[in-house]
Amino acid sequence: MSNDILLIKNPLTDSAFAAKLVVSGILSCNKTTSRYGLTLSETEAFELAETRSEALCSSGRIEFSNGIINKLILEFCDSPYISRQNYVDTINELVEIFYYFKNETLDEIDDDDLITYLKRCFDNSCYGSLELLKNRELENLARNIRFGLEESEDIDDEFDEYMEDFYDGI
Amino acid sequence: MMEYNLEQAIVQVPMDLNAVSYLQEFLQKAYQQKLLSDFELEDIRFRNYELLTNQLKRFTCCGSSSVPEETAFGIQQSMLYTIGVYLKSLPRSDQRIDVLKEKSLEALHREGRIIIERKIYSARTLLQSIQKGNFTTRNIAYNDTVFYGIPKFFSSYDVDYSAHNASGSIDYPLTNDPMELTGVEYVLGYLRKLSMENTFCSRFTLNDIDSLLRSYDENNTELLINIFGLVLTNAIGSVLSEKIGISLLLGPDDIRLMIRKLSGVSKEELNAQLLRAADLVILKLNIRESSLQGHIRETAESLTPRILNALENNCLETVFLPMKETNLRMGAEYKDGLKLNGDAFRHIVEEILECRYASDKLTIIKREILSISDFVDVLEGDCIFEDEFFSIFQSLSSIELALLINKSGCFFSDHEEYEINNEKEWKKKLLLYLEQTAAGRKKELMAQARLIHFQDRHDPDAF
Repeated sequence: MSNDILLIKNPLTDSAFAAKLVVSGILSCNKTTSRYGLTLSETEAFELAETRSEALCSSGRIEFSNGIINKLILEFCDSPYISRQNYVDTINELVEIFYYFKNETLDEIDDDDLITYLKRCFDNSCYGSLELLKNRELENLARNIRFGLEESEDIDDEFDEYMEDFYDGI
Repeated sequence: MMEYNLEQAIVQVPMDLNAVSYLQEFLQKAYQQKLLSDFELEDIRFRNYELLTNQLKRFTCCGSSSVPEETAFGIQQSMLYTIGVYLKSLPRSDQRIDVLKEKSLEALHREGRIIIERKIYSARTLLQSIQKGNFTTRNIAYNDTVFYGIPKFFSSYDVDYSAHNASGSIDYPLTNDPMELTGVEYVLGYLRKLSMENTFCSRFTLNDIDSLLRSYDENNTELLINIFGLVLTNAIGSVLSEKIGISLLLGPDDIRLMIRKLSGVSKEELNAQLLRAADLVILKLNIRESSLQGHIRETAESLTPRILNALENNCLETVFLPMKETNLRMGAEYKDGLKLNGDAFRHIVEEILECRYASDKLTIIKREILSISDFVDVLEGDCIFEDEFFSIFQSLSSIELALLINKSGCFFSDHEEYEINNEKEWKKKLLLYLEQTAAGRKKELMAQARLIHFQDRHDPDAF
């Protein structure tokens, strides 16, 4: 028996039962996403659950309540840049990006705010490019937070600029 | 289902372990002793996870579903620490097992938090009394710790998420620092020991302590030294060198006497001698707090290897510090030992009168008399006769003689014109003894006596 008798044991990540819970959660999103012609098979859901575990491990994070995969799926399913062909790959990539930038933004941004920001940038300034999202938008956001610039201010300013451009174009 | 006899459950885990290790070790031993079943242990683990999840949700204000591993680990440590503090507060191990089985960890955590808050309050009160206490020093590490480092702890201590850490900065070393403890337990333990050490040091004049520290090093204010350790060592030295009362002022002849006494003694015998000396220090300084008595004995015992090593290398003066001449020249304040009450004193005088030999009288004086004032009263008590005075004076160290000369007041007059016939017997004998002493030594004694500022002790608790 280990000395650390109460070592952190996470029922949501450390067991086969936990993996099944995550998968069934992902599959439950199909009901909503099918309206946009997007559904995931059980194998694809397992793949996503695996990506989540690896992303948590590589970013050195512990998840303690319902994961963010469902939230990401439900937020991104209406994106004009996601189709049946790139759906699984995009969500897999977004899961990795999410945990990576939780660390890079020093946990200063709530899950929901970060997901909203990801979606807004993905659909607007990045035109559906995950590379631009990761290497430009999120890097800028992370840098601003590390140097003490108000991220909300930053996020709001960018959104306002986008809306101005949008109306100018009309 | 297995039956456990909780009435007789004894799980022995040292209380000086930090609260996190205490809880872990307690669970481990209880499980090994079959006081907790596999199922119960698994249940505690699951409840531990539940509590951690709730704590993490509170920490992130429900804004995040994940945290970095180190954050989760730190919060879990803090949580286990708080529960451990509560378990430690329970008097019996069967009660600890009962609460672990029956109460929710959330409830144990709440109880622990209340105890931690109480400990913070006690530590704050203790710090204030230390800051306002009698003991002051110019030592930088001491002042930084007491006036800046520890107060910072109170403003930055995070009871909810980092209770196991003691922020703040503690530089001043104690003799036996409770380093096994963490969090508020460490700070409180540190302050309790510091308070005890200060109580002991305040039995001596600040001037004496300052002289002692200057003998240690001229730049002592900048050093990371424990003042209590140095003071106690010299106090024990004054017992070992058979001085009257307890004094920090040791001279080269005191060191020589100790070398003669201690050379060749076994480790066990030295240990026993040091404990006896510690007990005499406790008695003569009228120290009643049992925790301080224990601390003194513990510190005295820890001197054994240092003294053996110093004797082997012929450098006992590095353990027991003789006053440097420059310090003596600057003058020293001498706080006299406790005066005996009338009955006790009369009893000793009668005991001395019954002795046939001067050596026996001397033994009683060294053993029973605690102050120079009482010593003078004995000399004036018609129980010492003729040549016995000389035997007694011969047995005194330079500093004791200087104190006696100071008490006699003889050095204030020009010796040639001093009207000796009007003086008391012991003073006449003292002057005669000084006449027979080598001129250089006499001059030195007179000079030392002139520089001593005598302080009587008025202790209402004198026995």
